Amino acid sequence: MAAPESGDGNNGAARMVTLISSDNTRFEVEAAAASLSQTLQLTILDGGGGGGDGIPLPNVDSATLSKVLEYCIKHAPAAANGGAPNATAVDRAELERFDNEFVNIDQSVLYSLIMAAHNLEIEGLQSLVAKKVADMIKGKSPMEIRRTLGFPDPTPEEQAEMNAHMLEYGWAYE
Amino acid sequence: MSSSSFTPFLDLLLDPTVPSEASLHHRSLPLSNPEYCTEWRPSLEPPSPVGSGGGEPDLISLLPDEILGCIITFLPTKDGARTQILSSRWRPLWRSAPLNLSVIGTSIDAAAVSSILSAHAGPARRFDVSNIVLCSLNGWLRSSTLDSLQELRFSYSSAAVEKPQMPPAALRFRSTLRVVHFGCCKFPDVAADQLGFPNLKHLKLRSVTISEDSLHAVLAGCPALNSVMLEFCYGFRRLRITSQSLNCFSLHLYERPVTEILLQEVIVENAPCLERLLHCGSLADHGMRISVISAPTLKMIGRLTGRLGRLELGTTVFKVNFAIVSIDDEPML
Repeated sequence: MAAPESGDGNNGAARMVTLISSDNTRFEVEAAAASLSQTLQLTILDGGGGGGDGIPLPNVDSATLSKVLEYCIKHAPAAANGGAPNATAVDRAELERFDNEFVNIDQSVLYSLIMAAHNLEIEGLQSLVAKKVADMIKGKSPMEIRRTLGFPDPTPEEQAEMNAHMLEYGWAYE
Repeated sequence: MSSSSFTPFLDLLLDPTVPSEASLHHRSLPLSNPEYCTEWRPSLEPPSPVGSGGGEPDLISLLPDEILGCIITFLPTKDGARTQILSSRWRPLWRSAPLNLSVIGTSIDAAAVSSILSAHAGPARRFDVSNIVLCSLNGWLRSSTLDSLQELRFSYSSAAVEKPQMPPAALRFRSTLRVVHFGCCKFPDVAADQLGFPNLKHLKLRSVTISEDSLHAVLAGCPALNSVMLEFCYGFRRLRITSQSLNCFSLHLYERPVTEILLQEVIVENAPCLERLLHCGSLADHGMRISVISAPTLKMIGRLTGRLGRLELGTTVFKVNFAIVSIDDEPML
């Protein structure tokens, strides 16, 4: 894999790129962190995002982008290091602690994050947020899940369909 | 700040359920424009902005199918299937979200596994059917629902008098498998070119009989292999380890009067990433020989016993009747 900074002749200082949110806020961040996004990595490898230019992200608002970058900055060193196999147990524990706190947020923020991670193709963040939502569902009865996720109470027709489903998928309710 | 490459951090060693990038290629759904949501909301369900229970509004159902599918795949098997009951928006999602089927710790039996495979459209992420009756295993593995399988775990009963042959269909997922755990069976003797697993990262064989040729063909055919565990495996006398990617190799043996061929010699020929070479249980009576020719990053070797016949590290030869506990300060497993 190629090194994003190769050839920029700027030894020592990390290369920076600018990202512009949908509401026109500019974020300056190390290229290494932004490159956790597969989508941005290609642009950055092509030399984009530096100097006065920025990379516009019309699908991500500033609050969400700020949160996304918090994740990327924290995870960039481990990713640059080849990921988990070379990380020490202490590093991994610290990242795990960070991740747990990171997703301890309102559902609306969670869903904004999951869309942004999806659009920007940040694999680790996609998994982290999807797992968080899965944890909110896991082990709960259908009615508890409906309440947790804010579904309206089922109509009589829906209730009848639910009952039919429980008969058809008996193994899932034993 | 290092400027080297960016491997995705989440590794299967930490979480075998991580979805592949292949399932997450959808992009360009603008989040900031709520009106956009109506474009992909199925028409059969009206918008449901606020739950009548007074909790959070139902924002999750506005997410695209692909993301909801990803969430469902992270759920245990029964929880995943039960999401079909939530609403008409959710009903079709489970059967097309990558299947995560694991019977461990559940009441899912062989009949339920068959039901799941006929109800689900595939593809599959994980198929873990250890600890249940496996009479139908070959048929299950032929199901198109399991196409693109990434994690396969099965184990026959350890109480069987004779180990059954591993079903040939298990090898049809070679190109997509990332995690493999086969237990209590005989590994088939097939041509070496049938034993390449290009994406396999973690291999565990427990109480498996495998020939020396097959084992070496598997190791040679797995360029991404990170860890190998061989527990109570027999059928090979000599084990040569040559791998550019392998990080951890662990062997578990025990002494018992077996008629099978016992391991006598381990030779680490060339393993530039190998950090841990581990052994658990007691070594066979014969006096095991271990030779490390090239493993420049080896940090941990153990547990060695007095019955070790010979240990060679590079050109240094240790003879029996002492034990090296550890090469560095890291604890033994």
